[in-house]
Amino acid sequence: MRRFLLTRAVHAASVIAIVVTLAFVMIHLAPGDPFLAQMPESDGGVAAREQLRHQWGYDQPLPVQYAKWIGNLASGSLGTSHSQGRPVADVLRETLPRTLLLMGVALPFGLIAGVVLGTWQAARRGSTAERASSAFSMMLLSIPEFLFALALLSVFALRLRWFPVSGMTDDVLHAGMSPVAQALDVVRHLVLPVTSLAVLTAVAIARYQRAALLAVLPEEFVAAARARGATPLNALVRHALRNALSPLTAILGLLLPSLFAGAVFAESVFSWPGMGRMMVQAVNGRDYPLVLAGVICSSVLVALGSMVADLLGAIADPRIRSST
Amino acid sequence: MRLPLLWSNHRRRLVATCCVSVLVACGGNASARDRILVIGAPRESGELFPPLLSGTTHRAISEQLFEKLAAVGPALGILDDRTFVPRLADTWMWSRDSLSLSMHLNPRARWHDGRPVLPVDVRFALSVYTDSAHPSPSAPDLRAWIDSITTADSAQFTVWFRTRLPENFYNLVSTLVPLPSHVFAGVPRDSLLTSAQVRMPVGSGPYRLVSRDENQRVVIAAVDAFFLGHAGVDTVIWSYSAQPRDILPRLLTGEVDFLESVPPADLPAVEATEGLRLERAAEFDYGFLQLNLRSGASDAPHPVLGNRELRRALSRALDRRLMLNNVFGAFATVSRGPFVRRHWSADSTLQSLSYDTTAAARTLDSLGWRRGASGMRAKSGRPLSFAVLVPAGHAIRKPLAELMQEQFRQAGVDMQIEFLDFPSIIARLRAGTFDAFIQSITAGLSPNGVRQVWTTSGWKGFNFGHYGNRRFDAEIDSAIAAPDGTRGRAHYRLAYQTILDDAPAIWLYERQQRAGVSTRVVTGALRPDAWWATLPKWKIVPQGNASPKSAPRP
Repeated sequence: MRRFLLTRAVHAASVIAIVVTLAFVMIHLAPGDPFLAQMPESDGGVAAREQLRHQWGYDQPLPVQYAKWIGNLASGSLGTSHSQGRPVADVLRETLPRTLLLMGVALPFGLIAGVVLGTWQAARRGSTAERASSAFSMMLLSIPEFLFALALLSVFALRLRWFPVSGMTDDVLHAGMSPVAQALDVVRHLVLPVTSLAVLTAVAIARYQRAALLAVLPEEFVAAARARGATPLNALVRHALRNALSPLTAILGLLLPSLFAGAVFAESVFSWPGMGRMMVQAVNGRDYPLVLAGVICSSVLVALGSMVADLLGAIADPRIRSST
Repeated sequence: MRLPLLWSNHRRRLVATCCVSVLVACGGNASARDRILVIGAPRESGELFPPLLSGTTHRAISEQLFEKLAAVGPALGILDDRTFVPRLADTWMWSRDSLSLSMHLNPRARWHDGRPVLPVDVRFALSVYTDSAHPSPSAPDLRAWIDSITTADSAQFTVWFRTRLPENFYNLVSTLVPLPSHVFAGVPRDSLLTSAQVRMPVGSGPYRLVSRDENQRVVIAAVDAFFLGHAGVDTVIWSYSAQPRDILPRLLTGEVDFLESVPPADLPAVEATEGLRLERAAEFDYGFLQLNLRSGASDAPHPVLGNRELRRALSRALDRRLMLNNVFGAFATVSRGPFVRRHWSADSTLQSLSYDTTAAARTLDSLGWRRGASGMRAKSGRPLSFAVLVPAGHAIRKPLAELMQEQFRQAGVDMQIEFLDFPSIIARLRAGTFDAFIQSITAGLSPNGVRQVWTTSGWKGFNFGHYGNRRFDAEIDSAIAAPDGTRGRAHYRLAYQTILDDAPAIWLYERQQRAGVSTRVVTGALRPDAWWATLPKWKIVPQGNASPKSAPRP
């Protein structure tokens, strides 16, 4: 197991290094620079921009800039955000937990709902309700994430006004609320972005879960369980579902990157002040240090998710462990 | 195989209803909202510190935190200092030669930490703005205008100007904002602009900074003992959205009280919403199709747009009024040139190129650009074609470009549209690798910004199309240096007529923007150049007494 973990860690580290290097090159090659948006359209603005480019070393060759950045990274410094005028670490400390909160709530909701829906669809295979729900799931899957988020926003925030349009807390009231009310305020703001993420996660999982269960249900051990007197529900949940869950662990690893990508859309649509929205703004503003820090965080997140999925798979199936 | 119901339908509905009710009920507390104004704004990069300002949102906030020496009066005149309103400075007097200005500070003026505002703070501000170690965008202008500032006593100081300019007073008070020298006493000059004192500044204005979260909001609160009187609203929050277009839904649902510019397509929605009204706002924006007169990065003329007569024909081929009706409805007028009608230099007698497709066709034919079988024009096998850069997804420039494309097609001109993100467009403009670009400029009260955008001195800056005409340059220089407004206006008129005749751009629109405002907010008239200028006088009326949509505002 130790060797297995070590191999996976080395693999993850090299993937992160490659991704970050590619990101560094691409963002620096993109037209524009971090000071374009900060300086007005005047002669003074141009001069100030050139001065800033020189001060921050952006007029040096790319390999020199890369070497400096790696050096700073090695010493634990992620640099200073140009757009926010403060250390990148401070920005991440503020935004990353918000994104993790969004993903951390959406993932279990999506996972549980997906497993339940997939199991129900497999159990009711061929019925009108199952066919309708499968068609509906497919429809949801084929809708772009941002469009689904916009539909939620339009119905539940703009039309019904049940939930706020955007943000993480109430601008006016939050500061004066009790801790419980503050928590409820955050929950209230979480509902729509989490729903947009969780629903799409759920329908994706449901498709896998349904297929996995349909493959397991005709197996002899399920029939044997029924023959030993297990109720249909018992046979489904305790025997078939347990065996059909193992493919899900592999999907979980793949789910994290798509969940993170979904969070970027959800944060943009609902103005959730997390890392996804921050990344979009950083890319648009060519805030190099912030973009690169965001890439590091997201690739670490994805690599970790992948490692956890591998680990769970290895625990569930010793053949995977021995083959590594 | 049927799954049993774990919960009864009744219980499930009850729990769901309770959850939704609790969350929905968390939204309301009318009394707290009656003291707080929420302004919706897109998040901006940069600082609130006056020497580093660039974007509109940060400028609006900063001008609540930092008081100016004097403010432009309600008539928006900028040439006569008697029309200005005293702020930090309560009196001032010019020297006989008009090269120095003595100002007296109001003895009641205080920084937010209670210390008095002193002449050394004005002198310190000039040194920060113009320090070569600090990249302030105002530095070149201030260096060109002001020689030095000397202090006489604890209330009086003198500004020494380099040259006599009619806009000297306006330039001084609109650009140089006094800074608290005592706050920065222990801060090394080379790290001054990255210090904590810059991030959470101590100002002298009607509001002080309470909290700042770049990703969510900035909160400012009225200063109790402000020397010019307590502001009308206790707390003002700038609530940030990811994109400008995300603010409108927040206005419609009452999450924000104010949106400075409602997109033209959304004006009916705001008008139809209970509790909202539209107010006249910014009127200093003008837009134009900037044409590149050079071929790529070289000095050679552009093969198509380098020809003056062809550019004039292109101008005549466009029915701009029709385009504006489509995009802006009644909220824009056809631009007359590189200025706005509200500028003191504006002249309604200028001869501009009117819509005339026959004249346009005649000119194009005479230049050898003949229609082919497809109806499109070509000369010696070269199609009459050019590309226009448009920011991707732009709510105004995209439809304008599409309407232009169709009108040009009817004239036999092939106009391509290239959608790019803004940094890529700027990079292309700077490299000169473009044919045309739909540009929009916020002009400000002074017309002298025209020098940076249209004279040859702007070739390395913002004259992206490399328009150059010595007569135009000379008239603009004379206009800016003219000792009085009458002579200045005459020079501006000649300069404007020159550039209109040369047609380095197709002048498209002057916008009359509309702000979306909650009816519970009493704003007074919004200033067309800076809606935030009167913010300290705004008031919030209790919900029941909100002003009706059509009621005249004080």
